[in-house]
Amino acid sequence: MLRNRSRKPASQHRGSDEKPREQGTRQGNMPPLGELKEIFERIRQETGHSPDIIIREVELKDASTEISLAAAVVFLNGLSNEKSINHFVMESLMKFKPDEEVISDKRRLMESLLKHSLSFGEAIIENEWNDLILALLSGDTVVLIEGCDQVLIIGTQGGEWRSVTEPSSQLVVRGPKDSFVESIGTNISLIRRRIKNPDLWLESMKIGSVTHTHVAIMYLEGVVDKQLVKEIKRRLKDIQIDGVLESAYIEEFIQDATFTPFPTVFNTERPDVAAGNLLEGKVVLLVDGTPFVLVLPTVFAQFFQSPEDYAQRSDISLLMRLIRYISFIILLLGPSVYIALTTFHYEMIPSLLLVNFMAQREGVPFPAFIEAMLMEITFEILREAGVRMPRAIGQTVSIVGALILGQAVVEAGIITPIMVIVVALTGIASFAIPAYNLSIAGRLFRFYFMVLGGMFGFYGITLGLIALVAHMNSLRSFGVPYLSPISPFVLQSQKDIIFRFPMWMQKSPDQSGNKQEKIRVAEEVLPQRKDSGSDHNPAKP
Amino acid sequence: MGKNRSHWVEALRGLLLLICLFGVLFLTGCWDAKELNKRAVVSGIGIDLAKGEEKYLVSLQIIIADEISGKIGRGATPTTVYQARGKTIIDAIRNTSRKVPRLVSPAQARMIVMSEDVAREGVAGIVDFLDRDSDIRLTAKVYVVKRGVSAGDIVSALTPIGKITGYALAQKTDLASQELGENYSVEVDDVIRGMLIPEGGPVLNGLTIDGDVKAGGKKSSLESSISPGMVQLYRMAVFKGDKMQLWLSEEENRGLVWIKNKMKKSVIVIPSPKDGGDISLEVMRSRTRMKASLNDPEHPVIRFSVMTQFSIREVNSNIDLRNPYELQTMEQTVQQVIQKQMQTVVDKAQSIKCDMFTFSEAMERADPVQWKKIKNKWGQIFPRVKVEYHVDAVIRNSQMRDRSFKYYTNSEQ
Repeated sequence: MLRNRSRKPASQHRGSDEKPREQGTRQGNMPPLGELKEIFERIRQETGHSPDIIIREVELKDASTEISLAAAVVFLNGLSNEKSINHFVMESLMKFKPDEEVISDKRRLMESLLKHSLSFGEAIIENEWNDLILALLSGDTVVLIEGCDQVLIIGTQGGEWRSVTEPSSQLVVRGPKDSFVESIGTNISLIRRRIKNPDLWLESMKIGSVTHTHVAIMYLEGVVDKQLVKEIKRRLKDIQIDGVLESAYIEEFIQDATFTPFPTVFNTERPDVAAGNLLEGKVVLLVDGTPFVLVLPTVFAQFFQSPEDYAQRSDISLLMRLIRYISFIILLLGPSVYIALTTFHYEMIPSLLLVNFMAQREGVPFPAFIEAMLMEITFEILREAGVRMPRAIGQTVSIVGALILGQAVVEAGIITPIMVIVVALTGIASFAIPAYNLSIAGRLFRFYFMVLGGMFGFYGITLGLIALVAHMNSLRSFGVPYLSPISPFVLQSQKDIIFRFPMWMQKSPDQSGNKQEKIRVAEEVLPQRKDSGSDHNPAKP
Repeated sequence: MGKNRSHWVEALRGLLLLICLFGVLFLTGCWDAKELNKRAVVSGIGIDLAKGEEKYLVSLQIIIADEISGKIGRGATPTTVYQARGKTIIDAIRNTSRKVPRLVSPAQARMIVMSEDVAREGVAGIVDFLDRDSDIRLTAKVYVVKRGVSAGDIVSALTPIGKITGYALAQKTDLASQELGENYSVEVDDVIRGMLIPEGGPVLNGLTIDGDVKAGGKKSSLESSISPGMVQLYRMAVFKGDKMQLWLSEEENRGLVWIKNKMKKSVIVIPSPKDGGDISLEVMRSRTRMKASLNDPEHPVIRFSVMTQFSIREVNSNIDLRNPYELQTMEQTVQQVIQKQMQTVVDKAQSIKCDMFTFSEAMERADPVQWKKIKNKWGQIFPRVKVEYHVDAVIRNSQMRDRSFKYYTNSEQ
């Protein structure tokens, strides 16, 4: 397992660590000096005598010289790889023969243990107490030697993780079938495996004053905009939160605009998507404990791109992409257009269709708007129930909900059949959009358009669309206009927005990245980046 | 911490504003929202002349959607007719609300029928209403009903094919103009444009009922396979200004269609050059050009050039159609037939001094300066306009056969 273990963040997270609440019960960041027994006591006390902290005392003894030295191996049961502790750490310690020369100088002794005896790849000497505890809690093994103010930290992180499986929310017919898992190390390895390049840089930090969640920033040096990385790091550092359990926690802190239903940060559970975005000069944020990684910055059109597009022929991709855009429009406007047509603009309906509509409406008690609201809310209830239904009864509910309820409601004459069709169509259209968070935004705006369509007809819908586009135009994702490259229009970037040009017509990744850097970080955009950063982030100190 | 707070205040203020704005929405009401089951959708309007001060009798053909595609129909007629009288059309329509339980919505009306009496009295007010009303489409078709049948009869007639008479009639008109070549469909905007022709007027389609006039409105008429009273297209009615002048004959109708360049398909029967048997030629393609020449403004000339292609559809003769001379003879005959058709209608128009062909427009386009000189006395000049015809007819094919089987029976003898 490839693991990223940067020691640098120790100084980084210190800032957020030193909160008064935390320091009250602890002895601060004192070096672990003193009797082993005292140190054990300190560890036990700070972890609340948790029984899963294993302290294994050993004696380093050289039979020939009769020198013996007390030492201890401390690790967290369950989080660390016990096999490697047994095989390498314990065995190395048992076989370690302290030299007479170094026995007096404990620091040199520790170094000698690390350099000459320990048969384990990942190990480092530390002398700060917080690092010791954090390493312990991350699954590393800590080796203590009597009288030494330094500890040896051995990277034995392990324990049980979900293995790499097929993605569950972003499926493709053709394309890689692996997905990220909850382990950040695995996730980084999945990306690194795809981009074997020294320019793929990784920075990491710990966020969350309680959870100390490992967050990694990945980007392709030379392609990425340096200012973007700087800005992302700045925003990440400003986060004050006790726990990060999902990348969405981070997303909310670092996004430009808080009060918009539109996602301004892209997320994916697919390593190929993450790698593709890295090649485009975007920054990928990985958060430990979640399979969803963040991609910054993003534009509206990106939410309509599916990894499938690149696995199918370009003309077919165009069709699929158009279908997605059309679905989004249906999702937004389907019920509202129906309401507006039937209650305001009956003259626009083809005559025979109008006769059909009228025959259906005959005897239905509710106005079209109420009818649409009822059906849409019912549909949302069904969907919400379906999401967290135990799998065994999920099917029952979908049959009851979709078939029986739908049919009964029509037969009872409460809802017109055409309304069921419209609602079902919008419901299905919402699933055609590859990004779930955008489809939720569309579902929300659908109600807004229904109100407008029900009150003002097409006039209201038009006004609503104007307001919507204006709002979307005002959005920025890390300074990048949300609707770019459509607005502002950039001809060079059209090759992968609505059309997916054949691969050979698109520029090689490096070039496109550079181009994009120039385009997207246009000069007029940069000042706004600073503004939006401080304005919209409520967590800023 | 202080800045965090201000953010919340800001957000809260925004939210409050949003809620207030949302509340405003409810104050406005719903403008002109009308549910479909509160509308009476009109498919046709009939206008008759009545006696008395309320001189118009308006018949509204209203669709009963239930009877057409609903599950809860009562077996009644698919459309129903509401009639009311009024001083003007809109007055009469408003008067129908005493009978109609729903809002009369004429936007889907495709048929506007006027009785001959109305047409002869003048239709300016009616056309203004059709033009002014925000609902009625300018693409609705306008008809005149032959005397003896009232517009109400047409509007209340039922048709075996197509449940809504208004729509069926619109289809009949289009189809007849496409297949028969004796009329062309005239819509509200054509009528308005026709009325604006100096010394001219629109030409409207005529309607009549074939059979029992009153039977067509009964549901029982649909129960016999030969409908006792069927609405059918009649000849066309010529207007001068807003008043109807006369009905054209069938030959004049054809001539008008040729002149207006509306000919799509039409059958012309000519005698065979060999033995005089009937040969039916059908127009495949046709184009008519009208050119005006105003070299002598007092004696303007209009030149028609018609280019048509024919196909032979029916032969009752032992003629050998492989022979190009025979074909040429036939072409010449048919050219004369077409020219005569055009001539009769032009003669008729000149005799009643009604420029229904927009000669004036052609002249204005050809020579605007000269046109201004004669514009004022166009009424006197029009009957004197010299019209030249150049018809070029080509027989393109004879369908699946060249000679009729009659050719062989004759040669054996």
